[in-house]
Amino acid sequence: MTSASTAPVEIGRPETVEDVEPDVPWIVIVWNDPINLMTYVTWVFQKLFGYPRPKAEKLMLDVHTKGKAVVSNGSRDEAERDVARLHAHGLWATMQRDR
Amino acid sequence: MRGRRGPVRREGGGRFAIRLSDRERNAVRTFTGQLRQLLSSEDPSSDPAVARLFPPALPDDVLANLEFEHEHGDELLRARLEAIDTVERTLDRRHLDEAELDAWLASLNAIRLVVGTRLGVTETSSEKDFAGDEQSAELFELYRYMTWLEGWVIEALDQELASGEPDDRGRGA
Repeated sequence: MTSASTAPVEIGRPETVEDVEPDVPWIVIVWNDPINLMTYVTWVFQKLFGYPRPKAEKLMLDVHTKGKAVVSNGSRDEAERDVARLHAHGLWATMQRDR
Repeated sequence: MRGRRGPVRREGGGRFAIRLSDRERNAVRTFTGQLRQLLSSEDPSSDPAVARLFPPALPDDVLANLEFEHEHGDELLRARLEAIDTVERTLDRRHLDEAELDAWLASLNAIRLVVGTRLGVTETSSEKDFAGDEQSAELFELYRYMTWLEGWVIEALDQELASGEPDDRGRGA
């Protein structure tokens, strides 16, 4: 993955999903990129989330081989915080509702 | 053990020894200076390579994404500039503490993201891909140097690697 894919813009939606389903949790996804080192990605997962080495490595390999991995989940605020921390470490992270 | 001969080595008491030539330190200095300049421009994310440092958190929802940028963008930029400050302040040192080496790692990685994006590197890029253009070839060589150096920084920071766990993993996630 080298660049962001921009989805079609929806303007003027009368009602957002958030309004009707406040309890659906959010997931944080890390996408593969050709620059971040495998050892670095593993290190970031351990450092940010406190995951044990085997879990961090499995997630890193999922990112590497499958193109993405769900690395955390929680409330919208928690997901936002995790995405911001992943961005601060240079990882390509996005968040979305878990459905 | 590999870690004994690298340019970055964990010592006792949370200290790290840095062994780099003046030429290597100057290469890092040049890049951190350029990164600072790029980040300090009026609209950093208008440059696609710099925008790599600010990925869209919610790519399918433009408004929510703008909200996220509004909420977190300044902090992200501030942290990056602060890490660059730390690198520039400590670049000539022979020893660093962990927080300082963390700042080195953050800045080296940011430099590689910007340079790698600008060059359009892939997981299989080699010098042959950039041989046709002198400027790109030189930039790719520096990119590879930064990759090598970053690999050693990670190995030094990583307690489990430092304790001698086998390291047969490849580069490039």
